Amino acid sequence: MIEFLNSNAELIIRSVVLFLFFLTILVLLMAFFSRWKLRRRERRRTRVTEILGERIIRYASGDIPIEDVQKHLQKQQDYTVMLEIVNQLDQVLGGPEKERLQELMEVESTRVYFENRFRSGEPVFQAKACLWLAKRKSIQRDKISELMEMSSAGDPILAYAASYALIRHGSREEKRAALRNVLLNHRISNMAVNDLLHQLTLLGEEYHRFEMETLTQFVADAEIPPGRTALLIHVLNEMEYFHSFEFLKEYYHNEGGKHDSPEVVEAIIYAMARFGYEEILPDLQELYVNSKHSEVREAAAWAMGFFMKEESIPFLKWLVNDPNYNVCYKAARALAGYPDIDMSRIRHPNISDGDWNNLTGEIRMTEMKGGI
Amino acid sequence: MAMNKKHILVVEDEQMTARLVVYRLKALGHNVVHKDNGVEGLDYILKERPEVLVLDVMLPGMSGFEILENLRDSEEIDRSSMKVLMLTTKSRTEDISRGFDLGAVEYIPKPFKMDEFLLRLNRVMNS
Repeated sequence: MIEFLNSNAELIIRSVVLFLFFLTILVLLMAFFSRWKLRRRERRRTRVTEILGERIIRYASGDIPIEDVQKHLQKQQDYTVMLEIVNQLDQVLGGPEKERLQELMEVESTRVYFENRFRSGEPVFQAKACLWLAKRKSIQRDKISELMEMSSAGDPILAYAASYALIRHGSREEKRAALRNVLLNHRISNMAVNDLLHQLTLLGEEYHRFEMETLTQFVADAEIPPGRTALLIHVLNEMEYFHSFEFLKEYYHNEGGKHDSPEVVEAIIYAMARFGYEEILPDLQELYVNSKHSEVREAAAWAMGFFMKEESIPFLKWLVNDPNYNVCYKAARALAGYPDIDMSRIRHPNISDGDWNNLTGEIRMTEMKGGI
Repeated sequence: MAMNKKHILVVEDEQMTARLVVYRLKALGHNVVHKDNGVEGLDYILKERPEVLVLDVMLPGMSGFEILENLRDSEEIDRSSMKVLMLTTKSRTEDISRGFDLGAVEYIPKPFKMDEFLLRLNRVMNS
């Protein structure tokens, strides 16, 4: 063997080099080919978006018949592009334009295409079919149970899309069940959850009360993870659901105010303050200013600034020296709101004069811009 | 709906919404320009002085409110010659009042009916 290798070493090396050379060429060619294919696909997509976009806009405006859109639906990709365009327009349009877009979803070829995708078993395709179902005027009841199953799928895209369709077409209980499935799916982002909650409010004024009741139910649900609970409290606060105050107050005293998760404590502090619950002040001053979690101290500083009580001033001065910049900023911001406090006379032993000037300058700028 | 031809700038980052609005306004004979971010929008306003602004609130680069603040502080621009209609998904009262404080004449929350949008725009132009 060694003798063979010695006598043929040159040939072997040449063969290996040649093999590697051809392999490199092949890989390069394949890379160029796939890139070319991708670019071609992207170029076609841009072109189709341009043409279909123009057609759909004219059709939605009532200027051309539905057939003029249909004849541009030639390849599979075209249906996906159409759905994306309709989805964007559907978010901003109401009235006859919206109704025309819904009619576009009922065209026979569109139905066949998306029905096949719904049955494909491929999560990404099924998700697109769910979004199509969501855009339809109504769907058959037998679809609801399938959507419910999909809303608890592990795949976050499919779970989101199925829940989206259920929010549009399900009964109140089905909407609630779909939202719960989404909240329990840790692979779905908070932004996507927020979007689904927003879709709920788009259904009409009467759904605001339903949303509030659903959110409070979920806040009390021990199986919902703390990060989601914090999000739900923030939504109740941001949406100014004042009717949830009694519930949140109870929750604050029984559980939320001493929750293990700083996210939940932070959220409930903001909500209690925004709802004007001054009884939280002793906790802010005695408990939360000393929390080991900076987000809780930050919320405490903000809330004390919100109530602007004289007795909070020493605690805010204390928080001005917090090692965390955000806490320090919120405390300084809160102090700046008191009419009788001269910021230049606030002691700040842990902050240099230069940094203090920058911070107070930043606060003045924010105030001038009307920020919070 | 009779309207005089106007020079209108639409600052909107959602492509399809912008295309729809531009299409409808051009169909009415207006001279319409679209910018998809706040920075280019402000730049265009300062250079070309459109008569009417259709402004989205949430924009990349600079928000609709920031554009109005810049115009308010600008000495080059005569704000009274420029009518503003705000277009946004936000319908919260503080956003509406902030828009009005900064000089907006009308406010349309999304989703909207196109006829209503055009009606309000007509009101803006005639205000």
